[in-house]
Amino acid sequence: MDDLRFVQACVSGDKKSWNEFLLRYSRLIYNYIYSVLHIKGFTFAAEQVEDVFQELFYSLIKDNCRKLSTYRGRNGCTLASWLRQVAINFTIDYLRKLKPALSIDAEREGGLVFKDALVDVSADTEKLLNDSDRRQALSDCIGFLSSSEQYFLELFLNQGLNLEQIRECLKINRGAVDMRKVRIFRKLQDCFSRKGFQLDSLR
Amino acid sequence: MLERFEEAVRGVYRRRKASFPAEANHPDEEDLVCFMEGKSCMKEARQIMEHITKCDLCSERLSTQFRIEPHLSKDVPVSLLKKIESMVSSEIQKENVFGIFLRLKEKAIEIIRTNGDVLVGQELVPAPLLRSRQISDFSEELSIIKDLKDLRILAKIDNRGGRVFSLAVNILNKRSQKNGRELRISLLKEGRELESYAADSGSSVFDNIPPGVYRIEISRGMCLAALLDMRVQI
Repeated sequence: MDDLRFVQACVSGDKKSWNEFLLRYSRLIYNYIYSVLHIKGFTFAAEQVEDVFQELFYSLIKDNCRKLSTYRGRNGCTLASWLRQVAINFTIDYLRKLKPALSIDAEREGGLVFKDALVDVSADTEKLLNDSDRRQALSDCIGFLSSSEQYFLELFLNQGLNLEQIRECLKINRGAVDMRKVRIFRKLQDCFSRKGFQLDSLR
Repeated sequence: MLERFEEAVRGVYRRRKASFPAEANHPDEEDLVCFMEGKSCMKEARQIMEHITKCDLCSERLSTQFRIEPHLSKDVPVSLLKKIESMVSSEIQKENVFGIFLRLKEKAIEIIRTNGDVLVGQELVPAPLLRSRQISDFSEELSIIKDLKDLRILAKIDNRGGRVFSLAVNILNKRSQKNGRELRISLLKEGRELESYAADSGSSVFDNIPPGVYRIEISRGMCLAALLDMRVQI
């Protein structure tokens, strides 16, 4: 049975298919939830991992399996890949909802350990780019980059992926990733210079 | 110097991104998977790339995938799995059950409870609305309709002298409005199958049923398509 028909059998309430679903995918979902919590710096008690797991399952089956029914298997998207992304999205959304309620003292309270950087990483940059003209010039230069170049910056600078992770993400070899990075930053430097600013002005 | 420049670009990039209005129309899980696995067409891939450079949420959802340790293999605690099994089982059943609870009177049928809509003349009326109109008794024939997923189930109950009843089950495909095909309709009591019919025309009739608690299973191939739980008392 292909993945789509299997999902349809689950959605129609077939008990055997659900048993199969739990057998095949519960471990995958559990491990992805655990991994996301771990890499986001949250050390959860087992019960809290279990809470996310239960809530995720409930989200899949509630309202007549509305969420599970959205799986279509387009372009060969497998159910395992889809569930992996569902688990990642759900856990990130869960953490985002949780974040405002977290206390800096949480670690001492024995619950969640909140390791998100509380340091303003842009503070140094503020000193470097201490006037709005320079900021605007650099912002314009970023805007001139192509979508794929901006996407590279997003992964590298904003999400903080390392070049090896970016290689995996872009499915190109490591040499090509290094080249792309050099090319993008050279483009930005050239653009910045053309606008009348020099790199050594960034002091 | 270059590191300093990178740091400057990072700061400006983040400021620039924060200045964009909140993005709507987030790609769904399938869009993201296809994009990451290189299965999207070029147009879709470009749209997703552009969205991600403007939307922190989707960017985080995507990039998290590449930070994950691929070989982690923890077992799901058995107690948790049991909880999930029980939750799935009750939720699936709840969503997929057409319930009818009736009392047979000598020359009437009283509706005690149902989650279906009752056919009154040409009108379909939800049972709670009937109660608010203080209508509970019907003549000896009663039709109740319930939509379950892609099926529309019509249960027609005939009171046969207040002692037994007959039940006609008619199933329509909700979209095509044609009779459901390749269905099997089975009548069960206490888990034991009493009668079962391959209902190619989408309907089956069960005659002379004494009062009691029954389950009617409607299945398509190996899959259970719907359940009708019926409780009839006198």
